[in-house]
Amino acid sequence: MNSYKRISLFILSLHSCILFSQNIENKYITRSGYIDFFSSTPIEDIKAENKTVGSILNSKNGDFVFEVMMKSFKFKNFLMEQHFNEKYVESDEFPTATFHGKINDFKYSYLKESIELPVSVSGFLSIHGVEKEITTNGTLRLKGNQIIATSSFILKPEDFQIKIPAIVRNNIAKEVQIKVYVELSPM
Amino acid sequence: MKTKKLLFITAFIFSFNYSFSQEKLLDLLNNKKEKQLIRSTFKDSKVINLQSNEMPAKNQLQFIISHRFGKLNDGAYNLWGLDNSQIRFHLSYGITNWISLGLGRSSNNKVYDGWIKYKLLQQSVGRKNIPISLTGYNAIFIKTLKDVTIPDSCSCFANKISYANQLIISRKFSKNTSLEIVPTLLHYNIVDVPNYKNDVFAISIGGRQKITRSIALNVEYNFLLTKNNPDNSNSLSVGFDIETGGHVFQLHLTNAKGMIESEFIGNNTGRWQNGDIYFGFNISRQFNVKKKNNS
Repeated sequence: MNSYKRISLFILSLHSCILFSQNIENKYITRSGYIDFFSSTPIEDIKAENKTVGSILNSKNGDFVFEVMMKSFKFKNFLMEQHFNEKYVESDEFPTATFHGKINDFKYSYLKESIELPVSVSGFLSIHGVEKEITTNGTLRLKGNQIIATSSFILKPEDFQIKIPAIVRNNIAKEVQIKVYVELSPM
Repeated sequence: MKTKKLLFITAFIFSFNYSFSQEKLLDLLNNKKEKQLIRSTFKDSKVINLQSNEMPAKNQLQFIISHRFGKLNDGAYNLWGLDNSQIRFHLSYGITNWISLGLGRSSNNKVYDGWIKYKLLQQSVGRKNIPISLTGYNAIFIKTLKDVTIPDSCSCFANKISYANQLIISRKFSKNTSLEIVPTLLHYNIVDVPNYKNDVFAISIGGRQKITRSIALNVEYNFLLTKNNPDNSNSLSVGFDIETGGHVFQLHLTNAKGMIESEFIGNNTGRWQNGDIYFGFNISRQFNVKKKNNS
């Protein structure tokens, strides 16, 4: 019985050492990530930028998450911003958009300074209370001790039940271009 | 026996599987809560007649045309008031996000008005919890209607002036419901009868209830705390806001003839029960005035 106890204790302490190292070294974070979206129609172009995006990358397994405050999207035209928040994305009810997923086949050792590594990311994107599975491409590279992740992709407002009233239907494109740029620092 | 125990222990360890799940990563991001300002308590800068806490944003120009017809009890001959009408133009500009200036002109008594509106406090949640918004409003009214009943000795410029001062206390209770209370001090440089007071105090209540994404119901009631003329009545108005793209249309019924504070609060004699009901509509449009250095 005594040796049993000793072995269990040893294994538990080993276990906590493993946990400890897992906790510390692998997460890269930012709270000032950049996302913008752009819609172009013959009637007008709409662009908004969000500069306070939160994101964490787990470099151990490629887990990648984003949290975006919808009210932090800034437009040049205040009326557009008001309509965006109140009528389209209803940001009082759905204040954040989130993404949780992972970088496919991620290995930290693949990352290099000044070389953009093309990667594909898969996961679940939740906007306006609607969750959708997406896979998209992006790039990763090292800059000093930071990881820089970028991606460009297209989203359709209708996929997230964002209803555009008929009267402005032609002002907003059916496909909106999204651009993501985050500089992640070790946590 | 020993290998069995070892196997058991190894299995025990691996069952832990203590990797940081994606949900846990999201939780890590969550602990910073920013202060979030509550916006759009009311659709527009006026509930119906009454000022709301809203004003044009920085570099925004707002233009409102207000149209008020005559009284319902004007009878069939006057098409229940539709034959009579008066108009007010209103132009306001946001200097910063918390100060705006405006000018207006009403055809009723040919009054020119100018005002300043400023945010003292804005409702917010998150890191800082502020339950109400406070907005200040000061206006000056200049009546230019030539009044033959006033003797020339009294018709100096100062006598044409009256003032309104309001503190708008508002709160957005939910996505669809907002309320405000507005204490008002009016000052008339000249009053009709010698024993009338130049200062009139009133307290007003305004409310907005959103019915659909673009339509809202507005109600306001202006209660006079001091009455000069016993004939003065409290103004009660009911209306709808309809928003379409860049325009806001407001349709309303009110017992007040005037559209400015010196008239609809302090000088109103209309009574709903008598049929002194005026139908009116406002059309409001916002423009963005871009400065050349902003790209």
